[in-house]
Parts: sequence; C-alpha cells; structure tokens
Amino acid sequence: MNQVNSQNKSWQQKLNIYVLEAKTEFLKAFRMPAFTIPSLIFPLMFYVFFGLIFNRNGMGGQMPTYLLATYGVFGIMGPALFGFGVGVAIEKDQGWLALKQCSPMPISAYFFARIFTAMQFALIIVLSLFIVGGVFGGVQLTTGQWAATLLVMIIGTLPFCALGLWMGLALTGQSAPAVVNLIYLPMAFLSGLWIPVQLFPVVLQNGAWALPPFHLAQLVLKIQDNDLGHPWLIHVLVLAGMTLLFLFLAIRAFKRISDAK
Amino acid sequence: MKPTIFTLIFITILTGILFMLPTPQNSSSSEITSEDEKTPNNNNSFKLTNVTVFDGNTWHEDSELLVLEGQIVNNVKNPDQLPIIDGKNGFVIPGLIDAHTHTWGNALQEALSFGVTTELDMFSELSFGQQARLSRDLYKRTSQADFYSAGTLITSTGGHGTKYGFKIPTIDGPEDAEQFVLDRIEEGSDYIKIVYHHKPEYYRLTAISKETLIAVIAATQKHNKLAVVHITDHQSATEAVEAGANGLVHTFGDRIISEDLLEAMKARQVFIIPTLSVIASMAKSKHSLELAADKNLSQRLSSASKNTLKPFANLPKRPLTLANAIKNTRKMYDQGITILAGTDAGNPGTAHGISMHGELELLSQAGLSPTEVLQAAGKLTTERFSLGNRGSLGSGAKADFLMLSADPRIDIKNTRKITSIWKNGFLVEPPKTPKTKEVELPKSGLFSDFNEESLISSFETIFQPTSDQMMQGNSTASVNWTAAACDGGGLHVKGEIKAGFPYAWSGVFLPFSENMDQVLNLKSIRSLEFDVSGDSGTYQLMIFTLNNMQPVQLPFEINEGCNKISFLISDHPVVDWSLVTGMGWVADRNRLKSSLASFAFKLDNVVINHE
Repeated sequence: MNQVNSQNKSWQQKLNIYVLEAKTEFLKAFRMPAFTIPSLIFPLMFYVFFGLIFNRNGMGGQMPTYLLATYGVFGIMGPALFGFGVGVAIEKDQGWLALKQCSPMPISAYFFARIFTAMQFALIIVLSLFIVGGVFGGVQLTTGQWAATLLVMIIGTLPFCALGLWMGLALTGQSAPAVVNLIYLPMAFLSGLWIPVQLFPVVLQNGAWALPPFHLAQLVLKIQDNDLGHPWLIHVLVLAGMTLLFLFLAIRAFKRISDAK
Repeated sequence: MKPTIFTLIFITILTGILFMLPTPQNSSSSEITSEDEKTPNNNNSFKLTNVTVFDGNTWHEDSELLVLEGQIVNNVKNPDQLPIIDGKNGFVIPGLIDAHTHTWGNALQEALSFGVTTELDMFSELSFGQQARLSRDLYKRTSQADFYSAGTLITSTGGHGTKYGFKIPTIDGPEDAEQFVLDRIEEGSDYIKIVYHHKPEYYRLTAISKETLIAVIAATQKHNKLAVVHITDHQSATEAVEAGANGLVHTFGDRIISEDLLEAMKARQVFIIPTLSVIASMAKSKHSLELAADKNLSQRLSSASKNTLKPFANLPKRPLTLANAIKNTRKMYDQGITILAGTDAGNPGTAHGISMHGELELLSQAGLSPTEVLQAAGKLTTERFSLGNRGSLGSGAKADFLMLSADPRIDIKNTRKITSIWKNGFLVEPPKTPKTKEVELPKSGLFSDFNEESLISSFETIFQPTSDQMMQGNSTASVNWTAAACDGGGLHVKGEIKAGFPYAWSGVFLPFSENMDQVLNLKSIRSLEFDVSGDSGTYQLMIFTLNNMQPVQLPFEINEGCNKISFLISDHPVVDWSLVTGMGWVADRNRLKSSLASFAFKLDNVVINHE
C-alpha cells in the first residue's frame, strides 16, 4: 500500500516527509533526558578523567590525542546502539512500528530518521570532545585531520545503527535495554576504547578483531598516526562486511515479525 | 528557503569550529635556519649541514647529516627538496643512553631535555614501563626519552628493592628460578636485573643465596635475555661474575679490584655500568651540586630535579669510596673491559638527564677518552643490550642526536653546551614555561628606603640573610636594621665567607614573592640603584630569574664612604630582566682569604628608575 502512495507523490513531498520524520525523531530523542544525558555526558566525562586528568603524559604525551579518537568512537556508538536497539524494540512492542508501516510514509523514512538522529548526536559528541581536547588537552591536529576524524566518526555510526537495528528487531522492549548495555560496554572496553589495545594480553588483542569498534577506532587512529599499522582498507572492508551481516540479520528478523502478523 | 539558510549557517559554524581547533605550527618555507628560536619543526626529514658529526665510530669534520622521516640515511632520491638546516659549525653526537635509571613520573621528559634519548631502567613499577615501552620504536614527535626496563628486579624477601613502598614478588630459592624468570619475561622485562650480596644479611637487608643467583642467571640466559647483577662490594662482584652474570650494574669502592676479578671479567666479557654518579652521592661528594650549579645545565633543570640532586642525607663523608670506585673503573678500562655510562638516576644526588653529563665527566676521570666516553653512552650500550638502531648515527639509525656548540673531544664537559636536541628527527622544544604571575612594580620605584625600622620591602616580602649554607656550604650571614646608614635608616649586613661550597656567598636577599614563583618585569625600566657603604672590596648583585637556580652575578665595589651604585638594565643583556624573581647583595669567594672573610656593609635606598 505504501508503495503505491509514495509513488504518487512528487519528490518534494517525499523529501518533506523525510525531513519531517527526521526532525521529529531528533526532537523526540533529544527530549528524552534518559537518552540524551548519558549519550552526551559520559564520553566527555570519561575523556576528561582518563585522558586529561590521569593519563595526560602517557604514550609520550600522545594520550589525550589517542583517547580523543577512542572515546569519540565510544561516544558515537551509544546513540546508534540505543536509538536503534532500545528505541526500535520498544516501538515494535507498542505497535508503533506497525502503525508506521501502515501509514502512507515510506518505511525507509523511519529508519533514515533514526540514522540521521544518531549522526546528529555523533556530531555533537565529537565536536564537544574536539573542543575539550583542543582547549584543555593540548591536542594538535591539522585541520584536515580534525575534519577527517569527524567525517569518519559520523559515517562510522552506520555499522552500529545496523547492529542496533538487528537487536531492536530481534529483542523485546523489556529485554532490549539490558542486552544492549551488556553488549555496549564490554564491546567498547575489549575494543581498546578505554585502554589502548596494545596493553592487552595477546589473546584479547586478537579477540578485538572480531569487534566493530576496534576497526573504527583503528581507522580514526590512523588519521593521527597512532594506529597499530594495519592497512585502512582491511578495517573498512571488515566494517562494511559486518554492516551487511547485521543488515541481513535485521531483514530476517523484520520478515519474521511481518510474517507473524 | 528557510532550511537552506539553516543548512548554510550550520555548515559555516561547523567549518568555523574545525578551523579554530588547534593545529601544529606549519612550516611552509623550505629553508629553516636554527638561529630562529621558533624554528617551525613539523617535519622529520631534513638536511643538517655545516656540522662535525660523531657517528658512534668516527668523527666526520665539516660534514652533514641526512634525516628522512626520523632516520639517518646516506642519500635520498631528491635531496634538493629537503629543508636545509644550517648547523653553524656545531658538533653532532648521538643521543645519550643512560644505562642505569629508576624511572617514574616525568623522568623520561626530564631525561630528554638534557639529551638523554634512551633510558635503560633497572627497576620501576610495572605499570609505568608497560606504557612507556610502547613508543620506543616509533618515529613520532615525542617529549620523552625511549624506554627499556628490567621491570621488577629479582631479590629475596626483605631484600634490596622490597622497601620502596610497593609490593613486588620475591624469590625463595634456586628451584623457583625458571618460573620466576619466565614471569618477568611475560611481564615484559627487556633484561633481568638481580640483586646480590655475598652475605645473607647486610644493613638490615637480606640477599638471595649464591645457588639462587646461579640458577636465575642460567634461566635468564636460557631464554636469551641478559642477566645483570646489582652488587655493592668486591666479594659480591666476584661471586656474581663467577655465577655467569653478563654485566654488573654498579662498581664498588670498598677495596681496589683484585687481579683475579679483573681477569675473570675480561675472560667472561662481563661489562660494567659503574654508576659513579650515585657512588659520588653516597660518598657525599659535591659532584651533583656542582652539576646543578653548572650554568650550561641549570637553565634546563626543573625545580623538582634540582631537589633530587641533593646527595644522600645521613651518610658519612667517604671520599675514599669514590676515589676507589674511580680507580677500579680505570683498572677495568685498562684491561679492556666494556664500560657503560649509567647514573642510577632516581636516587638522591642524581637526576634524570642532567646526571648523565656528570657521569660522562666522572668516566673521563676514570681514564676514558672523550670519544670512548661517548661510546660508553651510546654505541657500546646498544651492542651489549641489543637496542637496535640507536646510539650511533650511521645509515638507518634513529635520528636521536644532540648538537653542541663546542667540541667534546677537547673537553667532555662540552656535552653540556647543548644547542639543540633532536628526537626521532624532530627538534625537541624546551618545555613550555607555565604562565607566571607578575609582581606589580612599586609606583615610586622604591623597593625600600628603610626609613622605618622594618625589613619589609614594598613587595611585602622580607630582606633576609642568605648564604651558601643552603648548598651545604659553611658561610654565615645576618641582616639587621640600622638607624645609621647612608641617609638615616638602612640595612646592616654582616657575614663571614668560609670554604665549603665551591661558589661561596653570604649577604642579604630579597624575594619579590613568597615562593619566588612570581616575577618582576624590569625590562622596561632604565636602571637599578642603591646606596652602599662598608668594608671595601668587590661584592655581587645577584639577579635570580624564574626557574634558574643559578643567579646572574653583577659585581660592584664598596668603599668606606657612601656610594650610589647604578646598574643600567641595557648593559646586562645576559639577564632575563622580564623574569626576575629576587635579588641579593652578597660577598663571594673572592673574600675567602681569612683576612677578608668577615665583612659588613650597609645598604640603603634600593630603587628603580624609569628615566
């Protein structure tokens, strides 16, 4: 039904739907303090504690720069995983998702709005980390490096949106917050976002390869030349592969829901 | 329309923020000269011309150094594109390697600021080393020296090393040796350091047995690591060498070395790190204080390091121990035994970086030629400890080096005349001095006219006695108010100059702030004046500047009658007049003769003039 509807609309009307949905989605997320405050404050707080106060002179003075990258990745993961994982799970349980499916809005607008929201949060988090790191942490990068870091982090939300989407569709609204937290924090730690991965025992270092944040962190660290030295293409391919895998799993879960109805 | 405008504004703000974020200083020009102090150094590829280079083996007169991405190279594809740095007839030596340190806090930064580009730690907390090791094989800009470490040393329960405030594992007997060594290697130890003493108990410490020593050394060497042994006397050294140690990390001064031990060390190719610096401190020598007072070094010395240069307290003076230690080093050198430079920095009487220049001097007193001394602090250490491409400046070496303004072959103390330090091909910037508060100049220009019975200056600080007792000298001083100075009230300064500290002084001192952490900016004034009368002779006006322990001394004459002394600021460019923290009016060592030792003078009307 919605296919017929959307084909009848002009592209401006369609764009308008996307913009409206994105705008309302962002507003909704932003007005939920339980979502906004941890998302925006935690990465910044950890960065100030571990990057600026305790460890400033670590790694030959590179610690604030290094942790800017890893806490950035930690920061952008949050809104993506929770926005999709928890948000979609709850809305699915409440029947809101089904309602959206029935509405004349293309369902892609629903997902697009959520991706857009995750990216906007990512932008705010990364920029605030930049400002704190630049002003108080003595972090110095070329303008190109700053811009590339921002860009990679924003695009880097996509794998986590996909992972969140799969979890949101596969989990019930009640279990989602617990499961997402259970995955989010250990995954961040084991990917070397809090403590440089080089300091891990070898087993954990190898294990990190299975985790998407590790690859995104390595990509961002490559920009500032603090990575482990593997080619960037490997990390990009692994991330792309993981994104596709999560999407595939999400589509399967989506079909299962649709079939059940 | 509206969304478009919002988008544009958004992008503008975003771009604005990105451009306002701090960036490293860029160098767009291809020619860099080292005379510009603010040389933009964003590049670790360059050609250093017009220098004499010691590459670790030989000296190359009027030579040049090619550095490509932090490494020394023989030639490059397009040398014309490299920035050229004029070395101005400087002398380039490889970055120094301190083969015996104990490292924590800012030690590696301090080390680098004196040209020590690699430290071999001989016991420190594990967590420090695990992090500090990470960057040693990189070619990035860094503010710290590279780091190798023994990690946790091997000692007995209650032995040397167990009483530094953090718990370490200890070994009970030879049967544990294999596992104990494996644990250390697993923790990341680059080599194994063992504490040994031939008596099971000494100075309220215990020691491992000889059997344990032998077993630990064997296990270490089985796993292809170096076993180095801490000893403090001749007998322990003999037993450590017999047990198969690769090296000794101290020499000893309890007696002159026996021919047997010399022969054994030579036959087994045992190297020694004499650490004469710490032995000098335990012998209560003035070596480290002279080091702190060396003008070429003091400007780089942090106040924290300055404090650690004070020798061991509560130990008797034992000049013989140091003399013996130097003699023993000389005998080992004569036998062709490899001698490596190490300071034991981290102990009282030593400090990271600066003490290395003292150790080089002590090694040259032990008979090594300046070139050999430099090899003991570079190439030889690299060979013995397998440190890779450091310690020399041949092709492929890390571009860690010092540029000196004078030839160290003429005097090894010329290593202290450092023009610049380069690490991984990057110029090491002197540490930024934090912004300091300025003290306000008194409006009248008067520090004090002493017309009231008070020793308080217009900065609300006190004119106080000062003498070399603070450097453990013996001179004395007293300061009192008097009603009968040049014009009414003034200061009556009395004192006695006595031998003790090499740069004896005694007199009156005025800090401009309580902790001397605030500065008085005298750059814009014309002159500084005061009235003096008293015992005739030459005295010194001492000007203290921020972070400089050594004041600049400006001589002036006192005659019996009242004299107005005036110093034109512009006459004394050596003083950093913008950062003055205090001033002193003192007699110095040219009153050492007993007929002149006692002195007295009166000081009045200390004032600065703008016109």
